[in-house]
Amino acid sequence: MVSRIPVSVIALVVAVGVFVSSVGYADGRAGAGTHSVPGIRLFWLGQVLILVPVAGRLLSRRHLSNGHTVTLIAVVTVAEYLIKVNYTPLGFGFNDEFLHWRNTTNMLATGKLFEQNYGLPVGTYYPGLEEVTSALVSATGLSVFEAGLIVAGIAHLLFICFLYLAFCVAIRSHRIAGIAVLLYTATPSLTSFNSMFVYETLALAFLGMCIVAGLRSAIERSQAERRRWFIIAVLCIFATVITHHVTSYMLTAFLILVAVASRLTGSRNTAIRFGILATISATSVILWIATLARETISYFSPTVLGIVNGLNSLSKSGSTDAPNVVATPLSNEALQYVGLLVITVLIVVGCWQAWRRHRRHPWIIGMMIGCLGFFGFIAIRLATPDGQELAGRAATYTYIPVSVLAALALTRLVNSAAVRRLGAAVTVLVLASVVTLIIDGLANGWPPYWERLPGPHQVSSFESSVGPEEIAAADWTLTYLGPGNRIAADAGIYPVLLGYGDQNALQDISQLYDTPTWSPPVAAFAVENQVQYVLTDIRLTQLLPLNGTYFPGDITPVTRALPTANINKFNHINGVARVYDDGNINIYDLVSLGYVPQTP
Amino acid sequence: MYRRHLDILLAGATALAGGAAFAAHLPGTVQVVLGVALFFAPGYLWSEAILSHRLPPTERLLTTAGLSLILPILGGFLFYAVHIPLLRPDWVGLLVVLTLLGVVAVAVQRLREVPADPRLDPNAQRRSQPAAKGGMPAFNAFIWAVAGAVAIGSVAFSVKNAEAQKYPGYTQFWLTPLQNDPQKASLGVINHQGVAEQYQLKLLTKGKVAATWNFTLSDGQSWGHTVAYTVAYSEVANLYLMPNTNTPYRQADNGEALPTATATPTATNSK
Repeated sequence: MVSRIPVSVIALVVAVGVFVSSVGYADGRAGAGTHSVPGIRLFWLGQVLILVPVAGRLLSRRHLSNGHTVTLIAVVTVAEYLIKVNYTPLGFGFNDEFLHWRNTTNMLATGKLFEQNYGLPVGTYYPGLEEVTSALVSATGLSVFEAGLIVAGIAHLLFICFLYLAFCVAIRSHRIAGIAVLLYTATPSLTSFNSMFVYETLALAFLGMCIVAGLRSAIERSQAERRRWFIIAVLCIFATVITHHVTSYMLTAFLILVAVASRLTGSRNTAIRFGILATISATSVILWIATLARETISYFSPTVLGIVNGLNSLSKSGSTDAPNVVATPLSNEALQYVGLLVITVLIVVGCWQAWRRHRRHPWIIGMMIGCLGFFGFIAIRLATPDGQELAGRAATYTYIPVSVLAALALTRLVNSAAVRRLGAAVTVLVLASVVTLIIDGLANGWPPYWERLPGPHQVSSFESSVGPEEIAAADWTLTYLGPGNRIAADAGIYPVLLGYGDQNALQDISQLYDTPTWSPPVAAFAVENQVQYVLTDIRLTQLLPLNGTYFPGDITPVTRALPTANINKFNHINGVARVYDDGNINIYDLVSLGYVPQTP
Repeated sequence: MYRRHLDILLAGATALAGGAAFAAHLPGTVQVVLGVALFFAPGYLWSEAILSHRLPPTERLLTTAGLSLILPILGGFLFYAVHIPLLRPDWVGLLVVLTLLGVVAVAVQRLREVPADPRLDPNAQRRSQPAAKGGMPAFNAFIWAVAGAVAIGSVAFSVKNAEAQKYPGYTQFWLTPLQNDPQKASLGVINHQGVAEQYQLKLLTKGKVAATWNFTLSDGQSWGHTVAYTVAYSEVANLYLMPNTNTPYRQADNGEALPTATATPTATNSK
């Protein structure tokens, strides 16, 4: 039975959804930001217009060809990417994007591969994204922003399409593969961190391509074809290792997982192929770190220690020391828990299905083992200081096996005789559940609820703290102070200084702003941290930060606005020059004139 | 036979044209089109060379795009290893060389290849099948075009809307020693108030007015002057937004004097 609604009509409805969401953004920009109720409603209406027709068509029992399935997946991926572009259509707006913009700009200017990046020192050693963007900028004459959007968009679409191809090759059902990719869309960071102009976005495309190539190298009939796909897989491994650290580790883990599962299920050829690929991947990762990217170890040490300590305290006392940063709305929390519950149930049913029907299938058994990562993901989310963010980032990888198992469960459910008897009502319920799951991913992903719509300036609050004034100030620092100055600043302008300003903006500097007077301990702290410039923003004294903290590195949520005297004190220190003033933002030169600490 | 190899010729010609467009500094649009072709040509050719041409169209498209992203990474790293800088001409050169090598690789590959068995070629099978019935190609094409127009329209709408977003006006003002000559300082103003503004700028040394400038700046326009700079005595620069010449609108100093007047902050959160 073929659907009467052409895919082109679904694409049109999706395009209208993108437009409606953009109108929601426009309403936020008109002044109220996220407080714009019509804007929020339009944004979510747009999302419903995007998700419902596609999910309905993919979940439907009516026949859908492989071509139409991949088209629908591409349509929904492009739609969500356009919504991300429409959030900041004039330039990179997401904080992490500034860092790669800076890397690319420096690479184009100097012609060097490993240029210093103050905001993301480890990113210096993973220049894949910057290389591709530089090549495109050079060939076309486009700006870094335009080329970056093209590279990130293509990479994001490639990742999703390769994931679909991998699921198709492994499960041998394009219908289940389509549903699996649809469920994967519920990953919290998929439409944000995984489609931004950041190195992970590009590396994920190579991960997807490597999985497809690895599978094809194992299952192709002719020896020549297997060898050709193997070459592609190896090229993908090298590109991943050069592009992004975590993705290269996850790729290695994934290759090992499939090799082990293949061995367990008796697929010797697949086990050997994936074993060799895993060895190449692991060796490349080790060599890269040992020879070029030693800093990766120190970059990850605090995160790993944080996770271990958090999990330790969770296992000992049943509770954690993870600080509670900002309370999320009840509706988001409820959605989050419903989502976790639905996924857990689907995983359990999916595992049961996998064991009953596919226990000789290496890929599906591999995914079953991989699903254990989901429970680690929940533990990280609950137990570690940056749990929410870490878990969100880890979900990119843990949701791959989860979506396969959940798709098996969901397909079984939709096809079951009981559901067929109950008819359309249950189908609608399943559709509603899947769309709710995806909306949970969007609502609890990025940007957070308090900057769901673009709008007016907010203090120390990621994207909503970035406007023309902050960019102009950062550009000014680069032009008039030169690059690499150690600057203390609030969390709002901090990433802009790192990116546009190419400054060495500092973390954990709130002590400079804690007192109303320039006391000897504060002066000593400034000397100890070799602070060259201090940036103040009068708006910190008027508004509380929606993010919970004013300064980068702080973890304790603030409950009252910064006292005016705390930032005005810099006007009264003999020898400290006020070199810049735009009414809100002031910059003080602490070192070049040789400041004299004042007695309190 | 000729048509079978047309793709190689096209890709090679595109690469050369892309390289020529870069060298000749052709107009933006031409360079963008040829540059995009140059960027993807190596990926197409090397996917042909490595994977043969018997790949279904979707997989061909995906592997072409994937390899187009991989090749600059590996090529760039190779350049780094042999100490070749990676400036713009080098990137264009790399893409041209990768394309030309790809042309040779595909040509060799196709010469060595056993003629394809149509029974094993999914593309040949697809071509030999009758066109699917029941479709409404013109209607579908029209709907796709409308969908594309709506999607692109949403981006254009967002761009216009973001450009028109109202921000509180502000004026950048600075007095900062020059990096290469600390005896001199850059004194500057940029108007971002959203409208033309009239300013008065007074430079005070040792508390006395040493110089006064009156100027009008349109939105986005800047004013700059180089002044003598010292830390031996106080130097204060007061910027006034006319007609108010009593209270400094912006203030900068060399840190040797304590400013007595307080600058008026821009109104905030009144967007």
